[in-house]
Amino acid sequence: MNRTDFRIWLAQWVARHPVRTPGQAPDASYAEDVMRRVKAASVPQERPAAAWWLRPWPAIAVACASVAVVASLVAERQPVRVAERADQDLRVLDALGVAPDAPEDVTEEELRGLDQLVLAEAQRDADEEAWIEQTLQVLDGLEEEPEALHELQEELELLDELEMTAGA
Amino acid sequence: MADEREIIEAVLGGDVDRYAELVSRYQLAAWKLAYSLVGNMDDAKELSQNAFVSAYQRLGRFQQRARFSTWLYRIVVNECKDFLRQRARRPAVISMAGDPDADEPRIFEVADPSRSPAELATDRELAGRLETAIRALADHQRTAFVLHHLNGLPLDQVAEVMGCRVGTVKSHVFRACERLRKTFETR
Repeated sequence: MNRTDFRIWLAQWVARHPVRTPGQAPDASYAEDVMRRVKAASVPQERPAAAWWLRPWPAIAVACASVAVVASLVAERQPVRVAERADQDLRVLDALGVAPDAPEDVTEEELRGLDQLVLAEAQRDADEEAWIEQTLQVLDGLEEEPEALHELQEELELLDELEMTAGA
Repeated sequence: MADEREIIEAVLGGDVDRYAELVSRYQLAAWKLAYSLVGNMDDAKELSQNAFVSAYQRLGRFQQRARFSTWLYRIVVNECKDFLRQRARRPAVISMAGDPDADEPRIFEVADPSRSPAELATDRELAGRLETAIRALADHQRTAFVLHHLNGLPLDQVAEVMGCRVGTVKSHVFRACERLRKTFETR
């Protein structure tokens, strides 16, 4: 059976499957039995009141404050580390008798451009990482190593086709 | 029809009888879902009833971010998985080629008078092969296939029931279909 024939036959099989066809509701004994067991069961526990810091607005405020604190700590520590490292490098170069070239020929505008380039590169790296992570999650779901990523794309397109066939 | 949220609040407030409204609303879907996973009417009935009782006991923890039906289906699927694990046997899929529960009341009876006897014979033969192939699928592929194709749940709801991403569900369903097709190719 080729792919198309199989799809058509599968769609028909699914459409005729007893579970897909409308059925009569179970007789009253079904619900009566459930309710008898429910009444004999322990009372459901009340939903625990959320702690004040877990309620939406306090949670958002706490999250924002945490992010701000972390960001400020990182912002403070980073220049110090860079400055310390630069001082160390200068001391080493001084000890070696090598005078570092002063970056006089680099304008402020060029430095800004370099900063933007670094930021752009960092952004691209972050996106790539997220993209790779998402891809790996999908591959984990497949539990198989596909030959190539385009195969995955092709499969998803075929799935959409099958859905359309089944829905027709 | 009363709002589900209101019913749940009433039940949590002590009006247990109102839980019957939820049972009546989803009993057929829950039974069918269990039936499609375990392939036996009696087992499916008991498992779906267990799921309702279990859902009641955990109702206080239901956050209502998802629909009650989605949450209930997840409990049904877990009940079925536990059942199949305990019985250490492969699940059966409801047979169209001869009802193994012929003595039982057939609430999911399907009638298709438009099919000729020859077509019905072919259908039975193919259906038998397909059911065997479905039983041989990996657990997550079978669950995704059954929930989506047989029970008609949209992919996003299947993802919620299975606790994974929609893309993963798509992959499971597609892989299931491909494996079934390959089974037919090789025979």
